[in-house]
Amino acid sequence: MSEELETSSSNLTSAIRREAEASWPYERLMPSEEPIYVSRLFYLFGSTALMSFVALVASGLILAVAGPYWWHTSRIGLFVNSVHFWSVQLFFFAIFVHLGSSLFTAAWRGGRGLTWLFGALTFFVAVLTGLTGYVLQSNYDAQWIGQQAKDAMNAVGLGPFLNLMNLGSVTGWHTTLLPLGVAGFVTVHLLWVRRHGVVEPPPAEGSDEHGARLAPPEVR
Amino acid sequence: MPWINLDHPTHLMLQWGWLLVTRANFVAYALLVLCFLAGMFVRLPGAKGDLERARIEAERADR
Amino acid sequence: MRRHNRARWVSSDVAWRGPRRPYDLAKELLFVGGFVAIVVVALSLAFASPDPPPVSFRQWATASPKDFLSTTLAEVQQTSLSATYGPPYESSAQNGSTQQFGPIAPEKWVGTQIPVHTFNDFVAQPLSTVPGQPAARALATWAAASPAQQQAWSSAYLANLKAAPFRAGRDDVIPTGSGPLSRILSLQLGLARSGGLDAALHVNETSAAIWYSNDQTYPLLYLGDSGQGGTGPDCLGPASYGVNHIDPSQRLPKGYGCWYYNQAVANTAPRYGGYLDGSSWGVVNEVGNWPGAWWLFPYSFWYQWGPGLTSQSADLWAMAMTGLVSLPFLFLPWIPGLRDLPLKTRLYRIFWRDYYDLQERRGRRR
Repeated sequence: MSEELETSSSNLTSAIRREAEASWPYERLMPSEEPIYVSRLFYLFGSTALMSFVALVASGLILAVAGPYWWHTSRIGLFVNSVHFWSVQLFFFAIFVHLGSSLFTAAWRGGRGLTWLFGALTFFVAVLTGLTGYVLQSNYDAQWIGQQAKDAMNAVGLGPFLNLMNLGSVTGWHTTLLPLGVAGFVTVHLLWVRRHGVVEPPPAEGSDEHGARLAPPEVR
Repeated sequence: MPWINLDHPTHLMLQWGWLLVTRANFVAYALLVLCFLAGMFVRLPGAKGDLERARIEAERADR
Repeated sequence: MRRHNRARWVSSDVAWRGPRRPYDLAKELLFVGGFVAIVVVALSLAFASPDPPPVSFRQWATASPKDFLSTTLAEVQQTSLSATYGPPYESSAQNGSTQQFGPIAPEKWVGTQIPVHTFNDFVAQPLSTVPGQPAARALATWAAASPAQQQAWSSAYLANLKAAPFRAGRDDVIPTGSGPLSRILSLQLGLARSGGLDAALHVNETSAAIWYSNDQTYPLLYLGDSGQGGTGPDCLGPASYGVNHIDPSQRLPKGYGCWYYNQAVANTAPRYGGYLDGSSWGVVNEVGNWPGAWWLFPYSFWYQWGPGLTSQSADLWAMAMTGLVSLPFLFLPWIPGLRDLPLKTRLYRIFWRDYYDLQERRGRRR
């Protein structure tokens, strides 16, 4: 009886579960082997960007809890802010190298268009996160960038919704809304990478796209 | 901290027409190119051995 | 790849028929995490991070009183850049500075969401916080006067201001012919120099319900009016500041200063802002010798030439062009022709040289 209930086509939960099991079985979610072509360093830059994001969240949490002005007068605060600052640099650094390798290997092939799309969206939200972070610094940079960037925001009608001169509003954008956006988009991106697998190289001569040989080797 | 003080007048690396790059940003761009090249050419740890093993096994299978 | 039949698509990792190699995801994340932590901590200990001290009205009024006073006069007269900006601060732009391309004017579409009345918000309200209300009568006199009378007073004050020596930092602007202006501006200068103006602008009590304030819109707009909105002859920055349109009567000769904007280009202590203005790639630059937001170069690029330099809608231009270029980037996998270009460079043969060498060796005749 339970089997009948489980496979009933009207049960939404079991339908979702079956999809998830098919797309993300644990062996694919947490792989312990990969095709032989995963052999060069560029494969590490996605993880580097991810770990930089973790460092940003960790240092950001400390800064958020301590308040926006703490780091101006505390040596530990300056250190934590520096960790946050350099994590941003490393994050965008890794993203650019990762973007470069994904671009030149045309990693969207084989139905991976959404993987690319969600990666690109992650990047754009990250840029906005960086912008709001700059104006959250509560120093001269924040003043200058907020006052200057208002023209760009106003020009496209965003001024009232993202008032970069309003520290209260910017705090909400930068510590909550936008990091959630980055985390959300990157999660979908990663799930899609695991779903489709690492993109194969264009077939070698004598092989098909799955790396199988098309014809037996010639023997004299 | 800090061991190296970057609090002094901004140095330019390049200024040509409207193209302008500060020294710090130039370093970032240069490192970007270097890491991109490294990503292309440097092997992952352990890859060399795995590739050798795969080659030997492929030859054995073809025989 | 999803097929439109009952057979399930499979992940390429599963479909792969070629050789495999071991892979440890957990170890990779740990090692990469460790690497990131080490690099970031090392950089932080070595270089710290930029912390240029903020500007204040106290500093401005002390360092450049003529700039502060001529700017405050513009706020009183409501001819400053902020006073004539248009949406979202005012219902219409008296100086034509609203950014638009033909009918495309998002700035106008959102309306006046952040109302700013420079006479009230930047001058009258802060001065009302001074005990005894010493400016009350002068402010009322000004508000009740005709525009012609106000202009006469303003011209007289500016002439007197130009001649004032500011010996030992004292405000010795001669009041002759400037009506109530001399009192208003002198009190504002005193309030600024005491630090009270910074406080009064931050906690602009428009409602008894508001005491906490995290909103720096008023003080930052006020600061941005320095040097006639950055267009004055004393501004060190390049022509990009000329994009800011102000009332023509605002154009003053040399000698009134441009303190706020000059902080961004003077490259001196304590801020070391050297190339922070828009037409020097300011968007990607940082103070001192720290790296800036170099990843924004595709956006900053549009401000360096053509409409980005000279158009009154430079910002709309830059945002629109960046957005336009971002679209093919975002939807690249679905754009025929464009999506085939990366493989045509044949760079992928280097990325995957190991695999291609392996396959080639397997197929070699023996």
